[in-house]
Amino acid sequence: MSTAPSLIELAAHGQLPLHQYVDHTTVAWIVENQPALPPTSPRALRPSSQHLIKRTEIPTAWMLDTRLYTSIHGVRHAMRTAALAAVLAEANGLDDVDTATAILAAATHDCQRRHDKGDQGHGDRAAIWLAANADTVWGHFGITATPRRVVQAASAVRLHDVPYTAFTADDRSDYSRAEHIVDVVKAADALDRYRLPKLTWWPDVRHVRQPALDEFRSLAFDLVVISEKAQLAGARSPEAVRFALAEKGLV
Amino acid sequence: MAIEIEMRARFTKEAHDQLVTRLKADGADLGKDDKHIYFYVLPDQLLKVTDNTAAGTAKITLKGSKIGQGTAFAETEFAIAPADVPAAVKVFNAIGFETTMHEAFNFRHNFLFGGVEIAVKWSEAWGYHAEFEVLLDDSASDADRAEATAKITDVAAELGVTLMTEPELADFTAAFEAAEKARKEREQQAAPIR
Repeated sequence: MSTAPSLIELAAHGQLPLHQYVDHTTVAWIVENQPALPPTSPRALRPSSQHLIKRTEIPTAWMLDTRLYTSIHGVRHAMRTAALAAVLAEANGLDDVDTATAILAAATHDCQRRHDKGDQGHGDRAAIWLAANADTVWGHFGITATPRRVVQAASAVRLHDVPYTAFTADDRSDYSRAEHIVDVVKAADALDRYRLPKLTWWPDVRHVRQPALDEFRSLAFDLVVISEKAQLAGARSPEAVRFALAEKGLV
Repeated sequence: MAIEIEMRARFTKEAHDQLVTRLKADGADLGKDDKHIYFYVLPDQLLKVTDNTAAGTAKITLKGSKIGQGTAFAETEFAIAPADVPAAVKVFNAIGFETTMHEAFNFRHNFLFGGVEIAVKWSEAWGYHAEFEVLLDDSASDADRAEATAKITDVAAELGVTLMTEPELADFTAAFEAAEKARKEREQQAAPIR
């Protein structure tokens, strides 16, 4: 086992590096700190959603910095967020088209990050990138990029890192075009915060507009623990997440 | 050279959980045995570089037939150091086998039940599945092989597991290989990112 300081030690001392990779000590700490969560009711996703979340392994070339592919904002986070977006979208009654838009936005929301720290503006960058590469991205998922879908997905990606309380007039205008999709992507992103190495950074209902967030915490926690352990055991990041999705009955 | 009599079954997560519960209760638990495997699917043979990540060992294996071409697999294998796995893969890729390679992580737990070794697994290609295996020495007669096959069939029946037939295995592996080929072609044709 590595003797390098774990993410929890680094976080405790305010010394997290620009690129952050999950380690055994941090995963053990996550497990030890499992909150008392009501179990998430088992739910079978619609076949169309299952089909899409199997395709959320985004190519390495889509990352602005490929060092982030396996980091805490890399492909595992992208795939878990996309799966949680599918669950939330269906629970909120979104139709197949809007659910697909939410899944796609969730899978790409962090791909233009420069690093794993605050990186202000990474949502803006990813939204511009998504619009510029719409045909390639939607093609990867086997669906068609219509102008409405691109605008809605880009809005969700752009607003994912802007707190609701900080929305400007332009943000509110974008939000009005894709309200439900933005809400789902922000809540899914928040639910995957169980991977972060500080308890105060874990999911907080005050930052999302998902009244039933508590219902999904247990699922989100399990997805983090199963996939991070699998990755540390030697699985590639995408197969680690797909194993977690299978274990939770989502695919 | 050893002979493996090997049969397989695929099942749902629910059936997987039931099988593991039964094996933990009534079988011998041989422990976790996760592996990262590099498969080279050659004409009529299967070459594997296996990193036994849970056990901390590694090996190279040549199987004399592919899945779906009979239950008896003549097998030659030798141990290598886990640190040499990347070099072994590099060598096989460099001598022309790269296009035949698939890579997979197997989440695996081994049990012994009724004289049959049962590896309960999950991999991307196979989903939840199990491998039932009896190892014979290379002088095993046809009767020994038939007996081993019967033993596996009986054990699977006792556990409520439906074994895949040879045509089912051949169809499944052919479909997987075709899907992998299509995936690799799609990756090569992907539009550049702006």
